[in-house]
Amino acid sequence: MLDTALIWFCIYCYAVATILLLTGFVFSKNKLLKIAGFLVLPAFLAHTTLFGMRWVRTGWFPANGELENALTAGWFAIAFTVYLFARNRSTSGVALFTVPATLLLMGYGVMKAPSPLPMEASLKSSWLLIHVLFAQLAFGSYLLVSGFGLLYVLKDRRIRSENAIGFYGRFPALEIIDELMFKFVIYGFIAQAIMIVSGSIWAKELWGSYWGWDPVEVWALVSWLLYGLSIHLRVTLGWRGRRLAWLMIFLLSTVIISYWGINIVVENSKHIFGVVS
Amino acid sequence: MRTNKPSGNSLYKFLKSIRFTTTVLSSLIVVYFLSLLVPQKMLFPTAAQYRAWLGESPLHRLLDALRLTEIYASPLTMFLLGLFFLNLILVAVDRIPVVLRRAYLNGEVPRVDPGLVKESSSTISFMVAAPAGSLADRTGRFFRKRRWGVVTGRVAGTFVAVRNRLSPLGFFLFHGSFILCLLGGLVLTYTRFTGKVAVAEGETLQGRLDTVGAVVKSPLLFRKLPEMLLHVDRIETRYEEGAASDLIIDVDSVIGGVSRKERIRVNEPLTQGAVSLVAQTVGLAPVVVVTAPDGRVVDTAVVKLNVLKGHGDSFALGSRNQYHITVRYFPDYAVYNGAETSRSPEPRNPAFHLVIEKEGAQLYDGTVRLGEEAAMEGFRVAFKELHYCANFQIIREYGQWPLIAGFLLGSLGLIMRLIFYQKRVQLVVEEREGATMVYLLGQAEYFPHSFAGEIAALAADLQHELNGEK
Ligand code: HEM
Repeated sequence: MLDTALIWFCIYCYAVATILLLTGFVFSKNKLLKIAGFLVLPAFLAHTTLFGMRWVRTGWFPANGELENALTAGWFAIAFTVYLFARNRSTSGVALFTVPATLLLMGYGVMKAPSPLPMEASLKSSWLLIHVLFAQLAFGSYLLVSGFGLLYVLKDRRIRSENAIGFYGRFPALEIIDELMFKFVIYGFIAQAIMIVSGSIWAKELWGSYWGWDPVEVWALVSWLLYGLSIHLRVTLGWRGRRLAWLMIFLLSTVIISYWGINIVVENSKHIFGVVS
Repeated sequence: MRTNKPSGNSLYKFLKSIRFTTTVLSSLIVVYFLSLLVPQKMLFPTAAQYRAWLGESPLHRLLDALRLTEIYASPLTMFLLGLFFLNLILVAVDRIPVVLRRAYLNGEVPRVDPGLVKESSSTISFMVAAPAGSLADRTGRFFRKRRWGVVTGRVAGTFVAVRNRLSPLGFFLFHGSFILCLLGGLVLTYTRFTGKVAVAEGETLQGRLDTVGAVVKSPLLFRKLPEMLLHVDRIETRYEEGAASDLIIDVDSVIGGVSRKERIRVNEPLTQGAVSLVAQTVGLAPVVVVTAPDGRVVDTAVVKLNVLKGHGDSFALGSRNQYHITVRYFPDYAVYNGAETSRSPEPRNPAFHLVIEKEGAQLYDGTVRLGEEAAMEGFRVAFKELHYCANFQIIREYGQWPLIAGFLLGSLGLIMRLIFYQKRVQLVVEEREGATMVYLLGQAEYFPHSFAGEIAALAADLQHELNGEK
């Protein structure tokens, strides 16, 4: 089946690219990063085809079950990475974060629900597109934020310890990484706000009230408030650099929990993102 | 030397400080986070289960006493929300002059210090072969063509070019939207009536909203509820690959004097003014027929059972409700390895497993198909026709509009503030030894370093333009 072949093609390409990226960063090998870039491109094409196939098959935005959620979330993360790669090679170091993250998501999705799931009536809403599109856009942006955070921390450490940039010279100046990180924070923060607002309007139609303090809603709110707080720390209290980069890397965990871990952390959520046994 | 400031003044300063914002915001985040760790009363399926949980440990009772199991309405949360909005209002009022000045709306002519502009290491300068007096108009036109506003400075030969001049106002829109959302939320909460009702196919309900079904929440304000008439014509469920893919409920309704024919589906509630009817689940509404030993039909009734998706339900029969009947439903009945099951959720071969008891004694335990009879003390009971019933949530609430306005203004403010952030260029035009020097010092909110490339390109274009080059 083409569907399965494409999934595995993506997984293998992302897996090899992950190994190359890790080795490239650990042993400061530029060439490996280049090869990784050339693997990510065909994988992204296959990924896009898969995404389109799932959409065409059900007629709905792919958001049904773990694999479709992984496909969509990963698609935005890799699309951002490819975009940065095309615009300015020096910023593509974020792949160190986005490619392994997408690989993990897809692996998890394949484990849980490889074939398309039937669409429950509750998912058939035009709000699904807006809600999930912005949710995954936010996730993709926040992955990039953490990617830039990691790049910042690594480059900063190299400069501090060796007083020379060397391999890290190919990446932008620290101030620019810091600004790129903040750009994607803004992107994610606005997308997450639209996700919460559209989810709340959808909830009114589906469940009868805008806000029901469902655990998924609370996590999303906590996560959004935390990103809001981090914007405050930067804009009003002048936080920059390493401290902010670490905070941003850490904040991704709140999004991961609200998207993928909620059923592990709490019971009784009305939100069902995937297969429930 | 120590100065004795009145303590009220310093408290006020603290309450309107940005540091306090960080503290309050962090505390609220902690409280909401706590709500995920401490089991919340509203998430327990029944009050009895909550009471059982309380009985499990003194810690649970302590959490209950501190109202941490109803954390969203607890005094602690209310107090923090109070501080949040107090701080928000104080900070916002305090910032009015700052924001107006940043948006160049306070009527002041901007002060550009030529010395500072010329000395800054980020300043770009170039020479123009034209007298300084002739450049003002041309520079203005250059920037306006690119949708930058130009304001003349207080000192002659100085200007400020601004892109997204009004962006700072987005601060008020975004942060003000919290107040609108709060207002909407409060009105929604205090005017909300929630009820539940199950209506079978062919059934008609009539009465005030709070008399037609069970009341879940009565409103604290606007207690007068409208009359409603609801007739359910038809209920249809559709399945795809075993999943409930659609639910269609055709109804005739008269709510608050307005009559309508409507199709309600999952995600498509019936909304009439402030009242809405949300279809939540469907149940079964079979016609139960009881026949006496002599063949007379002694009772016919429609019973509403929540037995879909494998749930068990029960009902009572008899003049004193002495017969207690527990039902499990198999829409597509089959027996695998001796166990009863359903092949699919579709009603292809409906059957009911019935357990009939009277005063604790079991009279019958077996499975009947549609129309087949189960015996109980000489009487026979059968499920004749199979209809569905719809479980609706009835809601009446006001306050949507401030909330929606809050959503829209908030999003607008955020986009205005963070995507269309302000960029400024301070310009100094000066004649020196027969030539004219132009100095540009660019500043951008949030991204000054990334702006360096943009300002360099802008300066190069301006230089070409002023020198009359293509
Ligand atoms: C007590 C409540 C709050 C106060 C007093 C407050 C105050 C402020 C202030 C003074 C700024 C800087 C404005 C500027 O320099 O132009 C700011 C910016 C910002 N705040 Fe808040 N804030 C509050 C709550 C929040 C919350 C709950 C969020 C969202 C989670 C948030 C998100 C932002 C964002 C995104 C910015 C940057 C954009 C802008 O300037 O409007 N704030 N806030």
